[in-house]
Amino acid sequence: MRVKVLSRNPDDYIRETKQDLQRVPRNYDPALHPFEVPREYMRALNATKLERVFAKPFLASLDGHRDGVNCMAKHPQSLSTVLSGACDGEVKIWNLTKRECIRTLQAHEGFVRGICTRFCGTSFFTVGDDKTVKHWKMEGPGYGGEEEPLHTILGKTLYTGIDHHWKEAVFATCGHQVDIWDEQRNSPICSLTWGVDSISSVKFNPIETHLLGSCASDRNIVLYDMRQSTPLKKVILDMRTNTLCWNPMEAFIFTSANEDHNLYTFDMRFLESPVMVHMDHVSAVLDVDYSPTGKEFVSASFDKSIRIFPVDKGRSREVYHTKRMQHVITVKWTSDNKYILCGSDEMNIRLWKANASEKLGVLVPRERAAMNYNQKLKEKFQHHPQIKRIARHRHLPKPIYNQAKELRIMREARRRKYDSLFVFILS
Amino acid sequence: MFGLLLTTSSVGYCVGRGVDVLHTRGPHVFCLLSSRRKLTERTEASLQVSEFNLSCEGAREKLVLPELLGSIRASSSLGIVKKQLNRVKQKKSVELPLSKEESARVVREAAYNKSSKAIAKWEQVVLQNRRAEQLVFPLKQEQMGVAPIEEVLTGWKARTPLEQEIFSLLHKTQQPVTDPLLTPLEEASLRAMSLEEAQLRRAELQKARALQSYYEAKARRKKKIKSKKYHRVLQKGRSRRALKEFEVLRKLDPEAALTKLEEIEKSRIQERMSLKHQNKGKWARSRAIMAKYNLEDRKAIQEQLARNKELTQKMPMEPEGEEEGDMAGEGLLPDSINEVQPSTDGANPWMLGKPSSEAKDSGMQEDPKDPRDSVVQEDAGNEMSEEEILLQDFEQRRCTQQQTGSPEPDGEQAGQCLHSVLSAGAGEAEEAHLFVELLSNVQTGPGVEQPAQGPEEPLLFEQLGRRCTLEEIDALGQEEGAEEQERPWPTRTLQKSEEEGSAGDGHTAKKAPKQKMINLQAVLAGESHVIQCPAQPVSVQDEEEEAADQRLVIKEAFAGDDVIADFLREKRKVEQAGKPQAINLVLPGWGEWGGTGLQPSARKRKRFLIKPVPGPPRRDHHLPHVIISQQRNILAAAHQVNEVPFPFERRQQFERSIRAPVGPTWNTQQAFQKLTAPRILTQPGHIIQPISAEDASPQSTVPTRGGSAALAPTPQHSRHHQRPHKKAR
Repeated sequence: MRVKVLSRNPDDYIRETKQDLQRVPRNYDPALHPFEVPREYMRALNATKLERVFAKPFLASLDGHRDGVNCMAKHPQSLSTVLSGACDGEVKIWNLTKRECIRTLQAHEGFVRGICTRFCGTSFFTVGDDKTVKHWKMEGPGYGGEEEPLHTILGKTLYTGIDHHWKEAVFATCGHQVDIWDEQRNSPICSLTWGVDSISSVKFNPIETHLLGSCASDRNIVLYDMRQSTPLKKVILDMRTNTLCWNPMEAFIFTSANEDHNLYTFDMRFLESPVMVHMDHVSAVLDVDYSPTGKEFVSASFDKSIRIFPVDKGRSREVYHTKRMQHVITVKWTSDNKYILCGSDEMNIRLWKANASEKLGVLVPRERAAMNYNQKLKEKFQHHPQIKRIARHRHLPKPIYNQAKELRIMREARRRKYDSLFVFILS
Repeated sequence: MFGLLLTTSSVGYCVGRGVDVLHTRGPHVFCLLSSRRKLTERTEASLQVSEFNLSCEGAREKLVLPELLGSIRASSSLGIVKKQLNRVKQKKSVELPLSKEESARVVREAAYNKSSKAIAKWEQVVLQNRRAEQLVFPLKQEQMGVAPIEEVLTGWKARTPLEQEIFSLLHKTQQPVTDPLLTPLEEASLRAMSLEEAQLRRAELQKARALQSYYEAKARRKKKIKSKKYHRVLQKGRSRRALKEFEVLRKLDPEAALTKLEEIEKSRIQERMSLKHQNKGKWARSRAIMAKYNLEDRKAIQEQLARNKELTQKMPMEPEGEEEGDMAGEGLLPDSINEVQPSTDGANPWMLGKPSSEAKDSGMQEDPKDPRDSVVQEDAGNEMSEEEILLQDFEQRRCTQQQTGSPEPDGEQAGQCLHSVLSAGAGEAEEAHLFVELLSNVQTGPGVEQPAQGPEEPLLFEQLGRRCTLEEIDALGQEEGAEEQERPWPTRTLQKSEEEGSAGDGHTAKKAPKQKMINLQAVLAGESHVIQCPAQPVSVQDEEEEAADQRLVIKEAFAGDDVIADFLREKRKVEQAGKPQAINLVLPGWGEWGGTGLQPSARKRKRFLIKPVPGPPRRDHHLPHVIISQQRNILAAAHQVNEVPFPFERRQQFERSIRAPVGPTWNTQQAFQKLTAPRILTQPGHIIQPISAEDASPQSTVPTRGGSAALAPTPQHSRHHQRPHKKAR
């Protein structure tokens, strides 16, 4: 007679070592797990709510400047170092992990107009209102030593901006004209002019490094080629462009911050019309910086807020503001794509998270999996009304809110007028 | 040139009061230089030619070189000069140099073209990165992994004597280092084993051939079987299998199922066209004779007749064609309504909502246009529109039923029509869970306008209020829900016919207001149904007369059926269905004897039958002629999507995107990880450098499909943007 006995292979349920994960048999039969859509919807809703609850982007404020922060620069090699120049000619180097100033130097008399680091990270350049370009070492002098620049160039005209080449020992200044300098020389290699107005900012293309973009106060954006030592093309906009920034992943794309509250993304090859107009600010946009992934950028505005825009969207996905933050003059996105730094009028540099509700620090794999899952769910159910409503809600201070409302009304009126005109013409 | 002239010709050069005049002998005279006042002098033949007496005949004439050359033809001493002059004649004058600005512009343009062409090489990379499922930053990833043995060996040299000895041994036996890892000897021995292999192969081939011949023989035998029963069984089995497959397919892939359905339909039509089951065959005729006497034969012949009827029945027309026809003509009465139903028994055409083939065949049908016209003439304005709505509604309902392919009992349909007006997605009536409707209640918005609107609306909803706590955020969602509920429900009604015909936006736009206009009072309470019976062509002009006749006409038309009674029955049915059911928890046994034929005691039954709490009274409680469906779940509606969101074009697309779960509850670990992989992966604490040619090159070698035409960016055109005027120089 055969006797049937229940038997199990212990290998199926016993771990080999204590460190092994417990084996959990799973049955994926869909009949056993009904209501998948409603359950996932609930999870998405909860994830969205929690995202808004945990959306605390403000991390730290670096104070120490005695005047408004006018310019900032990222260290190309060290994530924790950032440089800032103030309106009183002081330059400070900050350690972000300790959130303290590690070095202060009186670089110029008057404003520090521009600051940039050399690609190797050993030195940096500043330009100021005193018509000088100064080259400084990144490390400070020894104890008792005096803060002395490595090199000082006395110019004839005022310099308003500076940028360093991404690979070579060449930098560019702007002011009356765009000058390209060799680090070793006292006079520019070449001067590029087109028009007579003063140029407010100049930026090297990070990918095709011989290309430059500049914006002048006669409302135009001019592109230059350093190798051919000639200006290339000029775009004239309605209002003045304050700065521009090249996309670090897409060689021909750049975004310009305009006085008319908008940002314009251009394709260098097709300058007739912008690829995208980014609107949401309610005052002049003063600075813009791309995220190192090239998918988003951050803009600083005179309306005391900073906004984050996806590159392919016309509207912002995030707005940051605090009560004490005044006109934001300069903004930078850190090279690890995690943080945003903004320097404002009221002498502070603020550190924000680029992703407002992100958890900082090391994530356990399970945590990361949960985070990814939540992200995916939010994306999947983003069109459902409640989730949409919760995810989109942002608090705005009263002045910005009112101004935005006013602008909206104006835009609407203009549109209506245009439409009626259109109809009139058609009929 | 001028200098030359002066030296060559025997010409005097005179300067007098700012007038330079050049003279030659004879009629050929030239003069040129600018003068305020020309002195014309007379020339006379004289022996003495003074250089001061040259006159300029005709001040406008110009000096021409050949003429000058002609004059020196005679003297050979001037040969060199002549040559020089000839050379001068051949040369063209140099163009003026461009102005500084213009030359700069040319240079700029050339430079711009050059650099924009050069920068276009990034296009592939950029597009690839934009489209990429996942981007991992920083781009320069160090390759970790095991190096192949060849690489290690080539980079390694034997240094110690022992190693050298080993290497020499290896080389002696011709030990290969690379892939095959077999010595020539080994290879030779391997080759020697090929006989066994060949035998094995031969055996395999033999077996395959034998099997094939068996199958062929079997097939041949099967083909020869004449037994009808066998074939019938085979056919039945085949059709059953096909049906099962279709069921499976319908669940898995509705679109493929639809095509399959069409195929089946086509085959049915083909069979219908063939002469099968026409009762003309030998068997049928013999059975027909025998049917009188034999019950079995009678049954068989009846079955055959039924089959014939089923096959030859004409299916209703395609919904699209009907709709178009409706839109085109003003007469909105479908043919089926105006058709005559000769046999009053059986289903009512109103209730059936389907054109019957008998009516067509009988030939009693009048010209279908006449009644339409008469209706159009008689009715004016509002009455007509109400009717239109009603009839259109019937039509739509029928269309939807045909499309879904779910035949419902005929009697229910009239009621269903009304439901469809009232309830959102009436087809999915009894769904247990509140959220299951999440999927179903998506209404197709105007497909073309959507994409334009989509990206324009702000991504953020900026408000003054701060929402920090979970409760506040929760309230935010509720708020949205409340807004949803306040919206009038007709906009949410789901019309399947509309989704199907999403191509014509004009259709949907036109239909929406009509849907709203359906007034139940008007539809049922009013006695002014002016539906004409085509059997009696009506040509009554007078409205009063018509009103008097109406009842009569309708009564005559539907003598056999009672629409109102049907409706009441329908309503009762709906009411019953809507009532909460009693829960029966009675179990046999448990305290008393159980077994077959034994009923639980009455006491027990009373105790364990949980009676439901009667719900709130129906909204149509006091309205005998109205059914108000209360199917629409307000709580669920707050969570439902109103319109197809931007990137999706059709409702089905969107539903598909929602339907597949991504969670680990429904997917294996690997699938879950793959599904939830983030778009952008960054490593904390790593600096992301701008893309460089080295990063791009391995990617760019992969051919991408996008043609160069697709590469040009599409600027967002919207006239509402306040866009600055741009002049590109």
